[in-house]
Amino acid sequence: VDYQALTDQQVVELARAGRDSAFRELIGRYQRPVFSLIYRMVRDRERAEDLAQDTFIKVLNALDRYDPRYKFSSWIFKIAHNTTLDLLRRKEIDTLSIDGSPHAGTAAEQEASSLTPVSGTENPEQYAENRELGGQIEAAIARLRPEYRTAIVLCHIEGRPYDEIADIMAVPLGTVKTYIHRARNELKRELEHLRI
Amino acid sequence: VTDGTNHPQPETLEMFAGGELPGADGAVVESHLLGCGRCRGEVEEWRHIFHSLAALPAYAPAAGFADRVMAGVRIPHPWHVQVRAWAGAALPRLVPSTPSGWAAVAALLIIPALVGAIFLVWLLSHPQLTAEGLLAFTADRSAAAVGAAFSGALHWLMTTDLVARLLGIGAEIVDLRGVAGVGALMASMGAAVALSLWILYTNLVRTPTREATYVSYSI
Repeated sequence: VDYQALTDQQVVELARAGRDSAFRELIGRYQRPVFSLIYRMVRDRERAEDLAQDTFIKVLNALDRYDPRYKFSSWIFKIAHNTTLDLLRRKEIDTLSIDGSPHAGTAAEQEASSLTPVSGTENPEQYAENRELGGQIEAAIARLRPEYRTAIVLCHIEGRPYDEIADIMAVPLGTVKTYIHRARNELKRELEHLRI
Repeated sequence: VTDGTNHPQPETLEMFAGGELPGADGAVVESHLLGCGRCRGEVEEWRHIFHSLAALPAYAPAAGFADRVMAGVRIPHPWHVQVRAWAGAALPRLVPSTPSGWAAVAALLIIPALVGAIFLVWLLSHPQLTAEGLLAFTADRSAAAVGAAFSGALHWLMTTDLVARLLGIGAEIVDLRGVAGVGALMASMGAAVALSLWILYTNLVRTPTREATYVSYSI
């Protein structure tokens, strides 16, 4: 099967028919966006991996309840958002550095808890500069309220339209606009010293 | 759109920078920006922020993520997939591997076919029997069998406890309430039919207006 030519809905149909490779295709399509959203919410690699894994298992085991007339992406992001919010409500999650967990006792632990971005076509100087700027922006995002964080990540990083974000977060469209407006202004204040 | 000093509101500039301002309002802001360095700077600042956000990298989970997920996934096996799997496993065992095995299979297949063919030739060679007559006889007997089965099923249904109880309730209503009872009975049946039709309509015909209503998020 040439999965590249198939829509999410068609891949879901194949998965429902019991095709193992269709499940793997859905994981391949969404593991990065879902993991990125969750990681930006919890700022901890290990927790993000566990939550992303939970999200995929919940979604893939409930495919028979998914209505293929609607966007698969909205559904999986919604489950990811809810799963992550549940954890954030249950536990006090620290704001972590992009360079690794502050709980890391050794350099190896810090290395293990840090993340390397997927893209990387820059030269070493550009890479270092972008990494520093990216780190400042990531840190500013991490200081936002969880609702603002989800909204800003889905809008500006994942490029989802407002109405889809409203569906994912289960809030009215007007609330999403307010979240994004406030989040942008907080980010602008936080990043003022960088003059970006 | 503008504040008291004829500059656009900060929110308007933010929306303009994000390409979210509708046509006419966007054109007003655009013409203002031509002559206002302060607002132009504000829009540029917003655009830098939006660009920096969009340029943030994606993160990937550790290697082996798909395998760990798949370990927790129950892959459904519809009946046709299971039958195919069973056939795929069983058929190779049924295929003979020796000449005597093939001979036995050939005998098993040929003998009944031969006996059947001889019987058919004998039937058709009989002076009183024709192909049309045989077909008519078969059709007549099949229709009688189907009719008997249908009649038996109906008889079984009418003698079940549930139907008997329902008929009893109907008779009681008619006895106790007379014409009004019959009317009430008919009205409730009509309401039940209307409700069923509405459920069918909403599920099969009507286009939903909001995605969340129809996607099962209750996990």
